[in-house]
Amino acid sequence: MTYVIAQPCVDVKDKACIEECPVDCIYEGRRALYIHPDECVDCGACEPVCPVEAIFYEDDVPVEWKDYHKANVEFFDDLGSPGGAGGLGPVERDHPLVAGQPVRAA
Amino acid sequence: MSTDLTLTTKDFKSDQEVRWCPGCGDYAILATVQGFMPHLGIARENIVFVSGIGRSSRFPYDMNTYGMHSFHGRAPAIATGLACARPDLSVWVVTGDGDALSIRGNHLIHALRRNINLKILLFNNQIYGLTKGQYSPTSEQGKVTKSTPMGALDEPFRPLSLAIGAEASFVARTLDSDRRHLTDVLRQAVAHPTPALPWSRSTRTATSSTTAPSTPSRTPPPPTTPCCAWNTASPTGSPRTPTRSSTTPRTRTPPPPSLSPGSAAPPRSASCATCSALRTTG
Repeated sequence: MTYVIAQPCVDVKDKACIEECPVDCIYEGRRALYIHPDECVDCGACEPVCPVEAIFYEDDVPVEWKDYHKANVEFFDDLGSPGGAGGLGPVERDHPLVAGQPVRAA
Repeated sequence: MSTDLTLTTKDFKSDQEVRWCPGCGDYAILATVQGFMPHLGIARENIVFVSGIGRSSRFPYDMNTYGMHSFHGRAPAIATGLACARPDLSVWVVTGDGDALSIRGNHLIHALRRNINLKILLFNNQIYGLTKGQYSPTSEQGKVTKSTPMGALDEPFRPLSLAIGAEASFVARTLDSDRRHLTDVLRQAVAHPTPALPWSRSTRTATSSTTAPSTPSRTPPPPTTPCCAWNTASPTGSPRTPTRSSTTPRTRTPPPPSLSPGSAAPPRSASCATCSALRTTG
């Protein structure tokens, strides 16, 4: 497991990380982005470009957002390993943890 | 060689901190090789990665196998001795465009011509990443670096042509970001009975490099992954007929760098010191 996208991304989805990822392993859900745990190569390119600092290395996820590790893993339970977010396109659903977040004011 | 069918990718990850620039294509190559190794069915103690000096050459630290971080450009010579003395081992050379093609190109060509059972992975990032961004033998013409403020004058060196000229029997080119193709090239290189030189081009980030995987002896030299600015690793390979990958790069990933000189450089990482330096000078 590798990098994790946590709560600050919810309802933001800036996608700068998607542009930066060299292996196209950051997938778009309805309200947040998710990093594929098996396709990520641990290069760390996404972390510094996130404008809301939502991306953490697995071991460094703040305690209050630890569950987002599980969310990033479980989001792909039904998807398997598509081999690239660009080919799959946006996924019109979210992990329950993200879906249950209050909608952020615009 | 003994076999251990229970090995997994995790078994090939070492406890060392991987130290390349964020976004470097070498990360993708490392992950792919670690994922490929269990399919060899070879025990870790019977696998050896030998490297020289450069961004690519930290590779042995990150593989939980035997390894040697050796002298600049001398990895093919050391691996030749090892492969001759211990034919039961799976011996891999990891090198880069500077290490293999500039510092000691002679070792590379002689390893290739001798038909020794080595696999040479050349990570070609087209720049000297470790020393912060001077032009390398494979830098494209016109490339502005610290050592070429007016742009590189030379035609880029072509590793595959060199390998074929040295009578390598397996030469391939692949791309770091194309995991499927890279894995396929590795598989073909391993299946090749003699040395193979696959090289993969590694793009992106200051620590990127182009790598060409090749199987040594009779095979073209493997791709090297240079660190910094380019990281494309691509193993390819059918004997003496190096081919470009037919697979299409994933959307949003930089396209495979062209073999032709003067091609546009891939995006550089905002967080990479070398890339920043290149951006400033370029």
